[in-house]
Amino acid sequence: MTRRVVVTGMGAVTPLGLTVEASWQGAIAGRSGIREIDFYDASPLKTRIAGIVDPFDVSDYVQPVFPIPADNRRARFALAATEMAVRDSRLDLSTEDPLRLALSLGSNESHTQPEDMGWSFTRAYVGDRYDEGEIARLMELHEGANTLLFQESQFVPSLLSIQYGIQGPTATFLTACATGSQALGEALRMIRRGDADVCLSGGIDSMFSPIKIIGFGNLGALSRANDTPDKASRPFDALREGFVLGEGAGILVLEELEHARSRGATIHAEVVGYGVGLEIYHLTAMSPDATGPTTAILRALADARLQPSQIGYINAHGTGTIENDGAETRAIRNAFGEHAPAIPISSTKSMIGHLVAAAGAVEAIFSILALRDQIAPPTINLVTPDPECDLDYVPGVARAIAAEHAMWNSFGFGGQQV
Amino acid sequence: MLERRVVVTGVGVVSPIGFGYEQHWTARCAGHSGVAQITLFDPGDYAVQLAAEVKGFSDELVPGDPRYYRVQNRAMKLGLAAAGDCLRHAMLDDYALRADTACLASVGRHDGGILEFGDAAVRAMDPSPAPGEPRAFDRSRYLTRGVRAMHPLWLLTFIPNLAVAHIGLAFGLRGEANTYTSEAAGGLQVIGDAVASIREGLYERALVGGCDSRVVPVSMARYHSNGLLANARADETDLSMPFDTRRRGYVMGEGAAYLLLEDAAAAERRGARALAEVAGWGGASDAFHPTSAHPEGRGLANAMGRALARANAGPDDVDLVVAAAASLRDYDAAEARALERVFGSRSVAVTAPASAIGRPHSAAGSFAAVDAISALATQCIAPTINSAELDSDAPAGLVRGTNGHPSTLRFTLANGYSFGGQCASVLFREVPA
Repeated sequence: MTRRVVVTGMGAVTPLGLTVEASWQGAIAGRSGIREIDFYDASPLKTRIAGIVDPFDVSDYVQPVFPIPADNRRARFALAATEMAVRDSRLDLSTEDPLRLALSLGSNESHTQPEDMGWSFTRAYVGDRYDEGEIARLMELHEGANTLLFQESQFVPSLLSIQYGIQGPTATFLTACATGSQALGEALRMIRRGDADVCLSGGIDSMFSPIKIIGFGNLGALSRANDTPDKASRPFDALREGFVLGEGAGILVLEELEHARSRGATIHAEVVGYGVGLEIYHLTAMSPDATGPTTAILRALADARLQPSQIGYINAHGTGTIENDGAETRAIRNAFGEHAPAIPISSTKSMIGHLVAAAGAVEAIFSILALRDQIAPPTINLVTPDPECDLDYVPGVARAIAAEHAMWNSFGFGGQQV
Repeated sequence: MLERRVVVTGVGVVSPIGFGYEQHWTARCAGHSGVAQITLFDPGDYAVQLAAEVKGFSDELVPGDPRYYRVQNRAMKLGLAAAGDCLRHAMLDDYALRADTACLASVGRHDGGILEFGDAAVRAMDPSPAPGEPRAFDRSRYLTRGVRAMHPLWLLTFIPNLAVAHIGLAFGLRGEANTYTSEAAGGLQVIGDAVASIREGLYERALVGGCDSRVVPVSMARYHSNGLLANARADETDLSMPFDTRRRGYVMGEGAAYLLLEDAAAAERRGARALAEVAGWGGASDAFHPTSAHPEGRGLANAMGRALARANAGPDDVDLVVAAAASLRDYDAAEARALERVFGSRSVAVTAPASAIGRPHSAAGSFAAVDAISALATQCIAPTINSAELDSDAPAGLVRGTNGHPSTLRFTLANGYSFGGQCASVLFREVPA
């Protein structure tokens, strides 16, 4: 008998708001959270816009047990979103068996940004080269132990395990743009397999440091519509020219059904299926026939024992790059066949940008809320139809739907599809 | 229905003591050390002069399309070589079988630092400083002129899951994929997850392992400033001494190790030999501190307990524990306490591969698995070198010296202990010849 897994808590900070409800209201109103980067000097960059989370004080949400560096955005987002998710679930973690609590998170890493290493660079420069050993010594002096430490991907889960006393399995994943969804999928398996009864799961990201923007820009992936930030992210539109990076966190409390029922929890949704497809055709591109994403969708349907006709809403990966949106459309056509045109599909990335490691988790939350309110959020900025993208993407304004099951897609660089 | 059994049918290694599995295991059993003076960068007068580097590694040893070399970091290249070694060792040359093979890897961060950004930084220095002043670093100049010195696709070297993507491309693996960034425990988490999936019938075989390489100034600074990486003079090559009372921190290691896990029936169908069976696995967390171990090692004790429980085995069944201990004051002590909690007063045999190969971060769990599997396959325990003056709470069964110890082994347990307290443990069982 398979153990069933339900969602009993959700928390999020996104470019549309500092709570799940604020983000959701922004999304169904078709608001854009994309704006000019103003917290550092972005003038040397070709892309100067991003989906930015409003400033907030983490202590408004929770008092961190372990002090976190003030400039570590990922750690602050993670703590805020997790606290909201735990409160929403009404779980009293102190009365739960700590060994039955687990974490499954997708978190990107922050790096020591070379553009911020100027102080060390200047002093380690001798003759016409750098003294490499001296760089290490100077960094220790200049950056401090804590700052360096929290750049590691596994320290966000470590922080959360300490904050919430989680002593069961904790795992951290990083599979590019699919990270958040894959973490949720692994959490689903963890509970089904009996390794835990409750798993805090989702993704966190913030990576629009100048050097990362240059890197993504070099891959040809970023929009440069700096003058019209709110129109820059235009998934499925014929004039789309790349994605807009976003930041934020989405955390869900996944719980075994009987565990949730026995404490009278409010159940937001059931997670019924998870599918992964790997299609390594090219490092950053999908094959023209979209084999990988098609496989992932079919595997998720099979895992959930659902027919294509039973899916009433899809939250698309829909990044807004020429390639992704065409391939995703083909994958949906391949997997859903004749039903594809009837399914409302939206890309909320049109409003919040691409949250990379957090994208799948936030989009899972939006999918659940779409089921709760029976509303499909819109794909904004979709004004010029693209013959390659010929499905129903709910352009412009939100729409009432009649859906019992929703699906969300995440495809990553490196052929990672969930 | 009879539960599917999952066996290990291949091991691939690129390590500081050997290129290829056979060479690595022979060196482990001969008590070789991979710790030597840093050559991957010039440490100058830096407080850390030693690391366990993979020696003589170059692009010619990297399988796959040479056009990708420029967008692969060193860990990805080590991983590709180890994955190739594993598929060779497992004799999995049937492309149809490879296409359905899953690939799960434990991958570390890439800290490139000035090794990659150095040329860019040079271009960002103010060309005409005021007399007597150092040449100032110009941030704006860095972000415009500077970055043009780098390969345009440099970002690809920083995307961890591309380590798996490159393996898929080079060897035609097209099954399920995942990338774990749980650090040292990750190399064992991938085994547990793959075995569970194989047992559930999600796929028949999986290439699982880890790769890491952090012998770069930025990484050294990160761990040294946190008191984890030991100060090391160039002549202190016996510095990696797990459980020794003189231990004062770990030695940076690097390398890659991969295993091929297969449904036992599927392995038999293709005539593959089984080196060991995966009997149990478990994960748990310290929930204590980002850099220090819980004093009682509760995460690791719980992980070991779960691995034994899953296999319906008891502590008395275990013939060898491959410890995570890496010469760290608190982590080694915590592991000793955890062993005591699981095994009581029984003196179970323990060995610590970190004594020979340092602590290769995200690959550490995979290397522990290699020791545990090889011990079963060869009925021989590889020794813990360097540890001479044991701490009062060191495990009494610590196998020391510079020779392999022939032993009768039925169950071996491999441990992984991440910085930050994520723990994992995997129990292997002998497959009778």
